[in-house]
Amino acid sequence: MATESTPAPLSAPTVAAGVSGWEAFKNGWFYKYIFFPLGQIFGFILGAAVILTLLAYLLAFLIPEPRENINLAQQVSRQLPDMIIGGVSIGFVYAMIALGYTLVYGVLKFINFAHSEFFMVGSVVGFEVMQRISTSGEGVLSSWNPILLVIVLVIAGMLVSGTLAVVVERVAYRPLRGAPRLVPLISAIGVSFLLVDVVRAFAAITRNDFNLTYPISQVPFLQQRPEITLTPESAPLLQFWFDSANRDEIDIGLRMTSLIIIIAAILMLLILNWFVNGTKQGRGIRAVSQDMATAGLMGINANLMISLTFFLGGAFGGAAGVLYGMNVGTVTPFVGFIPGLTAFTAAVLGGIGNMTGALLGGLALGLIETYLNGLLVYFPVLGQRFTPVFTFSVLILVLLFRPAGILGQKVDEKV
Amino acid sequence: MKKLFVLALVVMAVALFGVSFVGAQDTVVRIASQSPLSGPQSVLGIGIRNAVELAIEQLSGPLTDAGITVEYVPFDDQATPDVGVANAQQMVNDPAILAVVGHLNSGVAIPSSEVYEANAITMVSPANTNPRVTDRGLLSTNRVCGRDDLQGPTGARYAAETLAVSSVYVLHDTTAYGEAVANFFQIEAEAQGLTVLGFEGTTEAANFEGIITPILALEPELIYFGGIYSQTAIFINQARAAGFEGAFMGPDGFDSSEFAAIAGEAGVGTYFTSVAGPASLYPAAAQFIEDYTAKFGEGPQPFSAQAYDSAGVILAAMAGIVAEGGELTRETVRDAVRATEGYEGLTATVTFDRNGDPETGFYYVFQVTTADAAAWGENELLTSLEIPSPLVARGSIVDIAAGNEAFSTLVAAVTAAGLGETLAGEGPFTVFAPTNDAFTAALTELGMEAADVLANTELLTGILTYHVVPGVVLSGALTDGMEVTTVNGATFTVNVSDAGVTITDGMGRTANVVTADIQGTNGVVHVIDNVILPPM
Repeated sequence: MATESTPAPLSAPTVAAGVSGWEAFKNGWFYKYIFFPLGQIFGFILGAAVILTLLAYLLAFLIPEPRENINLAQQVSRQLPDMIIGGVSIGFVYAMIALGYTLVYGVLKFINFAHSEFFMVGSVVGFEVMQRISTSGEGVLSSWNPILLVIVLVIAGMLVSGTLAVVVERVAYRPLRGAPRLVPLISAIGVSFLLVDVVRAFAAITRNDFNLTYPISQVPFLQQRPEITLTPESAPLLQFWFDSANRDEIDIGLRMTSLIIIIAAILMLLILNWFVNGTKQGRGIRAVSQDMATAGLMGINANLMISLTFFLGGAFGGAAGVLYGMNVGTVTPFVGFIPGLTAFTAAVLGGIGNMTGALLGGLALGLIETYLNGLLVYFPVLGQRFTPVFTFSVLILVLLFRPAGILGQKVDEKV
Repeated sequence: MKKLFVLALVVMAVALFGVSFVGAQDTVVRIASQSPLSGPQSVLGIGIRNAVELAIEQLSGPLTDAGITVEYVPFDDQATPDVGVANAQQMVNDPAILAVVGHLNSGVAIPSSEVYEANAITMVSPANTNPRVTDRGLLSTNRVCGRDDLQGPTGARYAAETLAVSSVYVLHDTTAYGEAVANFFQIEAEAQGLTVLGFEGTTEAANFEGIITPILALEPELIYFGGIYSQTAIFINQARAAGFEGAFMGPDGFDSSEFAAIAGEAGVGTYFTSVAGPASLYPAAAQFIEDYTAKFGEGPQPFSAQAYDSAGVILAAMAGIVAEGGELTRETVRDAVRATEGYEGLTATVTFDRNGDPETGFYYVFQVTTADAAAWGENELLTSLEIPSPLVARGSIVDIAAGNEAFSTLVAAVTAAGLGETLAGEGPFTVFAPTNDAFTAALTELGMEAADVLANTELLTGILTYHVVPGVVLSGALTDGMEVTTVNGATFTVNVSDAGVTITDGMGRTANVVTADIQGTNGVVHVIDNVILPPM
């Protein structure tokens, strides 16, 4: 990969002094760190969802009956809300993991393959904390404010994974900083295996069981499923949708844990964007990613910035792990492998080294994966087993035709 | 002085050497077990391990009395085929290991059993249900539990008849076990008139949302998931959370207290079939439950009682050899285990059929009634069925022929030649059975009338015995160009190609094998489309 892009992208354009209200607004704090990033996120989701929906209907138009008694267009219409919501929710998880890959790449030009295990450690920590609270007494877990509980779990996951990332960097990567590029890569793979086995041993010794089930059943709030039901009376404009789905009413609902993923992810992305673009430390990270030597000359402690980057990346991976664990319900020491690989694909898809790229890639890949799962089921020879074939083909195609990714900037080849 | 010292040393050495012969020779034999002791399925694997340990402790009496120490060597196969095979190789290298109780997973048992067979280490399985485990006709593979080609259909029949659902969606975990049992379920479901909305395999272990969405959109009344609890419990948890309200059913892979621990409330109401009930189901197992709980601090898991019986079968076979003054070797133990008849175990009275299946298999349908893992043994037993093993169900070779209209001419011929009793006897035989059409065509070819042939006993016997081969020859053992010697004494040649198996007889005529491997209690039948003739 020949890209050299900075983790800068969510910044707003600069503006001359003494300007109109709109200009002032654009230069303001609210716009730069809340309005614009939110707009970007919703724009990505909308764009990806629209494109994929059109492609799905196109497919339904070309192959109306892939199996007998299956009307593809009808199935697409029925599944649309679930596919979009599911795609967005897993997309945010991928985006948060991808941020870890992309931040580290931006600063060190190095793919941290152990990052998937930071995600896994986060999910295990989330389980452990929740389990401790649950077993500390009868009904203790249910007496907690659920939102507070989620916040505590996420922060615990972030702290542990972030610290772990810093330690791993110090121990396994920093000594190899001058070495040829392949060497720290192998080291990262080794760390990945090591972490899986350490957690495996830990689970075996403490619980003699790999299946770590979050005690969500004791928190009724998390088991809810908010939904709205659309009927022809309440939404007459959508009659074409009701006809296409051949249903009298359409439920748009999502699990509370999915909703929490989406809200938490958006909040954390906004905070990260503000941190990287609006604070001195963030500027330091960006400087180091542009040119480490010069940043050193400017008085920036490169090692500190790198550790900070690893902490941020690891923390995001850990947070993603906690939220993912709450959503799927049960995690094992091996839960990091596939999501980590998919998130890496997402980071490459969006443009490795580019934070907005990680976000876009994660959301896009999450939606692509969910749409594929929802559609391939109806094709006799294929089936859902082929979903990873398509998702990873995306990786190959991107690397062949646009190695910089969707949002990556092309620069001169670095040998 | 020095010479005296050396002499004393030599005398001591000789004395010690001699003493080692004089002392009672205590033979040590070892029984091994293979089950997943680590990993997602360890709960069941450890249950098996513990039960075997208890059995060896309690049932080795007759052997210890005869001066034989029985030791236990547990192995962890991690539910992974490669590890199971590697462990099997290790067992081969320890000559004291004569038998093994295992495995939990059919996908691990099948490759490992090839190593056992090559080295005459007999395997008795408490839990492997894939038909292929015993259908290969190996001498050293046995099981005390039922089979998936009967378990899957039990579930399908229950769904169709008792639950009265009309549509099902079938999932499996792509392993040898899960895919096979789901396939058997699907075939029977279609035979029962249910609409099978889909048949999907998935290795997904954590996030099923993408898989659940299209399933819910198809609105099946029942989802069947051929897989193990570590995966299926997570699935049902997420499916219920996504709003699935239909029935959920699975095979014996669901049967573990872990299912309730993972799925919780979402798992209540799930149906599962099993070939092994919880220990509390068997009246003879009450003492076993007490002893197990006292020794290991928790109640026995599903398959524990079956593992106890598996070890018991091996120990009883060994005791039988010793009582008759025989020697305990891998071959003698293997043959004695296969000859087990009427062994009174906790879960059943065990008699193995020719392939190592128990002659009668037990099949249960349970419903999960609790979200509490500790109360797993109290799940409701809805029905229990006794189904004979496929070999026993088909009966002897004569029964197989008599039961099929297409063999009526053959049956008449065999009766006329007086071979009926032989072919119904112990055998074993391999019979290449021509259909009625084959006989008609042959008679026309020879220009003879049926009555003439039936009257000519010598000719008839010659032709019929040319269709019988001593021993069991399964289609997998046939190679291209092979010369097969028949009971007649004459030989015929077999040709194996992509198109199938062809026989060239003593007169240069050919016949095709149309259906192979119909196994009965005393042999196997292959159907051919032409009569083969010995050289005349």
